Amino acid sequence: MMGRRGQCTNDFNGQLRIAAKGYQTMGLIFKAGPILSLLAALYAYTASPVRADELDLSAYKGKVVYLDFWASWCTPCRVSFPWMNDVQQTYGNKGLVVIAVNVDHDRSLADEFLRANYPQFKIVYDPDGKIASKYDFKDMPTSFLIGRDGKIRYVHNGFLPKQDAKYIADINTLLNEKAL
Amino acid sequence: MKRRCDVDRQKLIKKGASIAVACAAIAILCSACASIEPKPWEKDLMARREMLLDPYPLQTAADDHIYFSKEASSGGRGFAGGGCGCN
Amino acid sequence: MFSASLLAATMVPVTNEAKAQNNDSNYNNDIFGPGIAYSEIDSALLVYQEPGGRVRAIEPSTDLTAHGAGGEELNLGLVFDAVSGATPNGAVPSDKIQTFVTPLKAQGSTVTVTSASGGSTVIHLPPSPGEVASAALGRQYTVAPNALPMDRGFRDHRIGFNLGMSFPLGGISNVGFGGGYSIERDYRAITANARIAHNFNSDDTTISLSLNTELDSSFPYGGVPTPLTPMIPDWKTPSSRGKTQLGLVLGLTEVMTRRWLMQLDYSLDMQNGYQNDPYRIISVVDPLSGEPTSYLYENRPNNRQSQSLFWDNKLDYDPAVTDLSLRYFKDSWGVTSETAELSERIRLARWVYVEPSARWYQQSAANFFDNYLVGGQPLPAFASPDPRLGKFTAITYGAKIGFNPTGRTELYLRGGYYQQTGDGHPADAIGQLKQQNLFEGTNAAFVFLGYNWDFH
Repeated sequence: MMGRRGQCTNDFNGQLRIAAKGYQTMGLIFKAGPILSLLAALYAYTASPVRADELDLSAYKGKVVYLDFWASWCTPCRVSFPWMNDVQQTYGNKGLVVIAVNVDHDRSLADEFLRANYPQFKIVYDPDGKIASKYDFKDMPTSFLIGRDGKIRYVHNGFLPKQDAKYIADINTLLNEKAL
Repeated sequence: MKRRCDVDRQKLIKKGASIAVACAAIAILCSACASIEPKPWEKDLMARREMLLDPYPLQTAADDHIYFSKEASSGGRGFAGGGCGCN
Repeated sequence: MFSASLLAATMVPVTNEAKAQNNDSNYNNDIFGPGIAYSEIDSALLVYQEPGGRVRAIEPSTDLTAHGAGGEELNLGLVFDAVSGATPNGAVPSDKIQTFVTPLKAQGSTVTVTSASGGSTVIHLPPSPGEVASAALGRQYTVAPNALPMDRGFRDHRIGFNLGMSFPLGGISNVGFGGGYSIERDYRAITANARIAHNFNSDDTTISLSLNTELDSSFPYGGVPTPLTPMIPDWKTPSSRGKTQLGLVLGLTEVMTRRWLMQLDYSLDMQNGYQNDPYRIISVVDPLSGEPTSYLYENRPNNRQSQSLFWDNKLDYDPAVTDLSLRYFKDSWGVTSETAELSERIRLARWVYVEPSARWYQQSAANFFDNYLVGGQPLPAFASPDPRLGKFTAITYGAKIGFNPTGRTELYLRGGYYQQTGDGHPADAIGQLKQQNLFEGTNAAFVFLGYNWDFH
């Protein structure tokens, strides 16, 4: 920065302004990236017709819903299915409904899994992952415990038989709540 | 003859610009990766044996042994990652 | 969430029979994986043969792994190696008969040398000062004119095992450690490793670090020769020398898309100690005629540092899975190499697949690699004629077929042909060496049979 007599002074404020502008630019670029990709995703989504593959849980208001997302390729699901059968059998008369949403791309693989696992609960097919995207979970399998009020109250990431007691405790907590 | 403060200012601008470019590249890469990476329910193909990083470890070991006995380079391969990500 | 109708809900009929079978349903399935406790036995046999009576190796191996339901793993591996056949001793061919001597297997041993070991004779060495009769036995063999000098009496067995375990620890996805031991008649290796890996991004990204170390001991027949001294069959000292190795591998694995898995690894390796081939000799030739005048034991530097970058891509586009990998390697001995490998696994039916593959490899020579030394010139500090350190290109053609009738078991057979090409006629060849093929690399054919079995 030019000083009064043509000498350089260390203009701290001036340099700070330049640095601030630099950081602002970086910040803009940093924000632009995800926004651009979001725009691209939105474009892709809206460009194709919206399909009505949605899960309507309104019929189950007043009941406790155990909403499980599973797939034929998800090996922990092989252990969770017998457990969900037991749970449906034991708590069904208290108002528990187990609904298992399948996310296989290939329906025949899902059917093969079901033939080997004899589920005694409702199966919903979500091959395009639309229902899964709405619930947006981080693990496979994932179960959502939905209370009698229709709200998601617990999320179980993965299926770990060691945590069986915790899963049952969560179910009981919701079952013991009075229906609205 | 450039004054020292002018040179300093140019250096600062250059440095800021290169950092901005690096951050932009990382941001675009990260957001680009995130937008095309599969969601947990889209990992069906990754669960298959043939999509593991090293589905036949004895075969890999035998190959490595052959090449180690005939060539100067060895190793290089990592060990973890991929799979369905279940549990 | 509350708009349109319920999608294709099915109610599966409930029967008592079904309930009784439910207790076993997790054992009805054919594919094992995370969350399931199971064990695996993998076993395999490698048969490897170089043409022209050169090296043949038969190597059975087996791997036992126990998987816990929580992601724990315990692994035991065993390998056995029987190697025989002729191997180049490092000398260049000559238009005259050449004679070589090498110590016999063990001091004081009596050996019957049969004609199968290729025309070598047992010789008694003169007693050393103070000895009445020598206990030293040597093996002398001749090589015909214009033939690549090879030691035909080479035979060895190796046995190795390794033990490892890995498991999730606290918040870290996976930690593991292991060790191994390998022993043959003239070499021993002890290995240890520790590793850590963590998954991010719903398991789409994995970062890993592994550290490995090895302690080797070489105890060649007849003792360790003094480098760059003339070849003698007499006992040498010391009787053994060792080397240590330390390395790390830093890895990044990324599930790029639903169909594309990528891996990028950086390796750093450091070796210190004895890295010579104790049996390998280098010819010293006459500067005009190119005739060998003497043979010296080779010498390599004590330190070797290397780095490599490995990039692997796997793509799944039914019915084919493509695997393409590239590796770049560089070390402090002056070797740089590039490797490219491609395989295409094609599913022919649910239970059978074929997998053709090809590998291209190229390496530069180590900076102390020499086909021969020229008499009259000052001796270099390091010199080795080992074709493993020379400049060459190698191509492998492979084909594999696999059968997996159930998800639990698989049988596969793989065949391959390895072809090395190098310059056997360098422009600066002297005298009779101009007429000789100086490239000592080789081709090889191999067959690999494997069987995997998963069970509870």
